[in-house]
Amino acid sequence: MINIYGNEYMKIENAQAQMRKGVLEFCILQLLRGEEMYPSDIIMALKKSKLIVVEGTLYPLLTRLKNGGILDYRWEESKSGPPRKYYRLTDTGLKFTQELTDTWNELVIAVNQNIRNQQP
Amino acid sequence: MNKTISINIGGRVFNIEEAAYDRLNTYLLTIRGYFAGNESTDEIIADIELRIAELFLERTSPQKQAITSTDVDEVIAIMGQPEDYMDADAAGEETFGSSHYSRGQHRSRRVFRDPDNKVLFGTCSGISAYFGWDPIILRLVFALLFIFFGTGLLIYIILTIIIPKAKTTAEKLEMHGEPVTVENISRKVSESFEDVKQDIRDFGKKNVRQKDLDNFGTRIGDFVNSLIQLIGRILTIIIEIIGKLLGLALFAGGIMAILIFVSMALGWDTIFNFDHNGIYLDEQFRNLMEATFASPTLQTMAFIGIIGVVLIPVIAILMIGVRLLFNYRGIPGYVGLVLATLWFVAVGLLAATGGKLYKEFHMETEFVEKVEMALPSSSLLYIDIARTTEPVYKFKSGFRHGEIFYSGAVTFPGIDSTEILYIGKNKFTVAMSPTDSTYSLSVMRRSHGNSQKDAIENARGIKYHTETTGDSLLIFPYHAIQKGYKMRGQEMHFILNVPVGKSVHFAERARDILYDVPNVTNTHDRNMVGKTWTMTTQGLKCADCIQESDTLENGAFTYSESPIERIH
Repeated sequence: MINIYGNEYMKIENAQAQMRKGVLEFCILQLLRGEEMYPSDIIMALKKSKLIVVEGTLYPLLTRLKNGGILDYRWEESKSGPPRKYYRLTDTGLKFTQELTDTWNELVIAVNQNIRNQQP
Repeated sequence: MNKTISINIGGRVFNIEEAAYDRLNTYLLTIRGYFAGNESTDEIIADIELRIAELFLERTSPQKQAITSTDVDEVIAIMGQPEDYMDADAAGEETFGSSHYSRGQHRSRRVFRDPDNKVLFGTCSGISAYFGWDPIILRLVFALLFIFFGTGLLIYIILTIIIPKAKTTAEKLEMHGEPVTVENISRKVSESFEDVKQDIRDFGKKNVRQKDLDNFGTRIGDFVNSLIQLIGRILTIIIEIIGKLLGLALFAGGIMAILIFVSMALGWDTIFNFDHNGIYLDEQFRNLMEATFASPTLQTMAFIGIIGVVLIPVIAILMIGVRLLFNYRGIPGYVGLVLATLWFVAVGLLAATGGKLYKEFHMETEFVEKVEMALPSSSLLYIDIARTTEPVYKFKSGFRHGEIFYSGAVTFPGIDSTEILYIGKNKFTVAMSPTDSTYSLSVMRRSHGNSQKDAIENARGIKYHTETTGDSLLIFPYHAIQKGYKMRGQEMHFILNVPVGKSVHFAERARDILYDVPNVTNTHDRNMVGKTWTMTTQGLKCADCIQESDTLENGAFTYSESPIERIH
């Protein structure tokens, strides 16, 4: 089916999922800002905010951020199981996160401004 | 007992059941397929395997050492479907870079059940999402279909089974469809050149298909077990009960019909009143046959014909009843054929005798003759019923309302009761006598026969009885046909010729013989009784009516409590 009015198919669910995806990386960085975490901890926190549902989503993302030099990890032995990868922000990552946070704050102000202006 | 395999995952050794291993292996291969082309695939897989090992460890204990399929399913549920990995990866790459509306790599629109927006199973909302409708419309349609035709439920169940639930974010997005824009089309075209990538993805997809099939099987299992099997069982029981009830009804009906028929044939009881205008002395099937058919041969033929035509279907019904009721299937197939043949033979016999009977009836005659009896010379004649010694009854309500019937052996004046074949009801009317100065009585005889001569002879065979006492003319309400004659539709009408100026008075009891007595006020017969009527040049006129006779119609007499009213 070819629809020349592409936006007609834009549904609220799509937009919401899109927004969540956009902030997913940012949220992971925010979580790691204060402490070292291993994936299951991150998952727990993200599930609460409905950003992701299953753990699998996280691993490729973490690997990509690690490859990008944003994250670093160290192995830690676990009493109850196999060793765990504890992730933390690198110095680059910290700067990166700080810049993103600034951008975010600007965005929040701008978006809120727009929302208020739009409201009758 | 299940065979287990020893695997090393995340540096730990687990004993895993064979089926569970297959599932896990497929899962990991599929994920690998999804990450094909990504340089960190091995690292990601290693991370995932570590986590799986951790989750497996939580699911084992000294009491439970082997990993089962259930464990694997649980772990997969926690980790997510392969599409979820893909989704996150794509999201990371595209969210910040690409401006277009991304939906994973190259997915088309698919139908899913929508678990986030569900009333029952999310089927309606899922389909609505696919077509871009408001789910309330589809839900309403299903509700209406369910209420009015009951089909809504079935369709819903089938759809719920065949449509998978949207589990991953990607599936949820797919559920809503992808806008087909020029941008997206060009993207698709460029993607089609990535052959190698495509092949690996196809491999992944195949595994996904397998996974989908498994899910499908699970859904079928859940749903069929809990719902369709239950409904099926209930339906089976209901159908069985209906079958048994039907069998019982047919069986009982068949037995009843046979009993009725046998009793009729043997003359045990009087069950049917075949005639509406008369009374049979012995209202029995065999007597009726004798009274109707000319020769014993015809009687036998008709008897066999009737038995066959009525009894054979009864036997068939009985057999179906037995079969339904007792699940008896020992009746061979040819029995039906034999019965059908016999039935047609019986119909043939009946048709043959019917043809003969028609010939016996095809001539009709009626003639009027004067009754040679002296009637009173007074100016007022009382019409009454000649006293009968046996009771005659009349149904006062119900199906045979107004019909009369006779109970016991009749005593017809002057004829021995054993000589009587049939007792018929007389009809009485009044005519104007233009020339005579005295009353006179005529009878009109009517009958059928196989020839004019036969019909006249039959008509002459009708016996009647009249008397006079003082100023009264007494009519015996019935006529008789003696044995030796046959039933040929004989009728007897009395016609009283009244000179102009003279009067008649109808006694209350004469009501049952009055038949269409003409009068100037068009008064109904039953309202003419108990009154004096004078013959004028226009016709009978009521001499002592206070008001219009018709208004008395309903209040003229009251019924007794008994359903049968004795009239003589």
